Amino acid sequence: MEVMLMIAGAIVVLVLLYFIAVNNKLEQTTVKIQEADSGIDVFLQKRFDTLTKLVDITKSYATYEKETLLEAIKLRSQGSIPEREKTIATLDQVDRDIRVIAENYPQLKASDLFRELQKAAVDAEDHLQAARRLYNANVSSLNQMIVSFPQSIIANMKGIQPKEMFKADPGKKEDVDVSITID
Amino acid sequence: MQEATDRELLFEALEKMRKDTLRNFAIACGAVFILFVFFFIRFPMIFLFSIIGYLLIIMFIWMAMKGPYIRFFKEKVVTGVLSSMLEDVSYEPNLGFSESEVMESRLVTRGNRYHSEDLVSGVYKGVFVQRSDVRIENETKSGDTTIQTTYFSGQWMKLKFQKEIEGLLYVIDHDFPCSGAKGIFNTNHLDKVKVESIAFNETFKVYCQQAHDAFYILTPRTMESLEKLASKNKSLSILFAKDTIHVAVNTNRNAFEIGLLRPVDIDEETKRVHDDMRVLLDFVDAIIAI
Repeated sequence: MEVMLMIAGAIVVLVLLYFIAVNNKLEQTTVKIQEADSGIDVFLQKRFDTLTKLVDITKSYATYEKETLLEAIKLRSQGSIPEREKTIATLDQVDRDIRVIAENYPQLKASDLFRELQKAAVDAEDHLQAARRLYNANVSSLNQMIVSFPQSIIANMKGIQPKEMFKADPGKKEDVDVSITID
Repeated sequence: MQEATDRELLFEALEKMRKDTLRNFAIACGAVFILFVFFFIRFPMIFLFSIIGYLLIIMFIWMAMKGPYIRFFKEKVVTGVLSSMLEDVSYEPNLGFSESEVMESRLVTRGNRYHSEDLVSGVYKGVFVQRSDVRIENETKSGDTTIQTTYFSGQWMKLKFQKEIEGLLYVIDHDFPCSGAKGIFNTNHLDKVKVESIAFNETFKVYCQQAHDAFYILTPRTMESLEKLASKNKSLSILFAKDTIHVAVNTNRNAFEIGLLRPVDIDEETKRVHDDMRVLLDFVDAIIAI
């Protein structure tokens, strides 16, 4: 009888330890997702700032509708993933348009400041891509835990739902209308 | 035509030097042997010490005699290959990376014997690179027995990178000698990160101080390039530290050495040196593409 009680006690302790471990893992992953999520905002802002500066120096060569960028930042502040994907697509479009303008104005393209800012824009884009991929990797890890037995039981108890991921490259899939007028 | 003649002349010079070295070595061995025979006849009670002494002197003569031949090979063949691959090349056969620099990278397990030579510096596609052969061993004594374990033997490369990261990022091949060693990556607050590519995770382990750095450096394109490199060269490991990259390729041999015992095959030796250097430059190509 004593042995049986000890075995039962050991099982309860093991289950409890497992529960704590899985619970901690779920909590840690959720925190990592939140961190990655705010990382996206940081790099989105950085990219927006860099592109704004690029637009400012491009304005003297071409008339550019700066409001499009302001629209992009407005969308970003709304926060959901599809909205932020749309913002990213808008920024991608702005970036492409600036390149087109630069192709038509060799003086602009040759300007040191423009080249510096373009380099910074590329870097900001790379950081943004990295932040999105990190977010997706963390979400993927959480989603895998949620669907795997027996972690799924604990995830259900805690009411954790699968999270949405960023699409691979929304910029290439969506066409955002940005008007440019080259003088 | 001129090139073929030059190769022919180089081959003849190397072969002559090799044969002369072997002949001189044989004469030296014979002379030392005769001396030891006289010594043995005079002092028969220290026979064992005489044998050990004889072997040590023979080893010393061998090392001293093969030196000029290897130097000649490096000067004529290795320098030529390097000049065809790098700009502003500088080759220092007797210099290497400092022990502290290599050890501080923590890419390899720390041993108690360190040797580095064949330092090459040059510019490849606008990137300044430095490479050197590195050998790290650990010698332990247990009673009368000395155990020597090689932790790393191969090529080491250092270069500046156009991207800068906040912390440290290690990309370690699963076959790399230290990849199984516990403790190395438990310091510096390193976390193990898994990237999206299953194939990449199967080939490399990724440790970093900040997960964002790993995703910033390891873009899908870079991962693909590194996988291709790893499929050709096992035991490739990389450290990204701020704007500097350290690359360690464990080949278990010295890249620019040549043996004395067999006839020289200039084409084969040139190809070997070229291929070893190519491994490192392929990495630079993969990194430039980021």
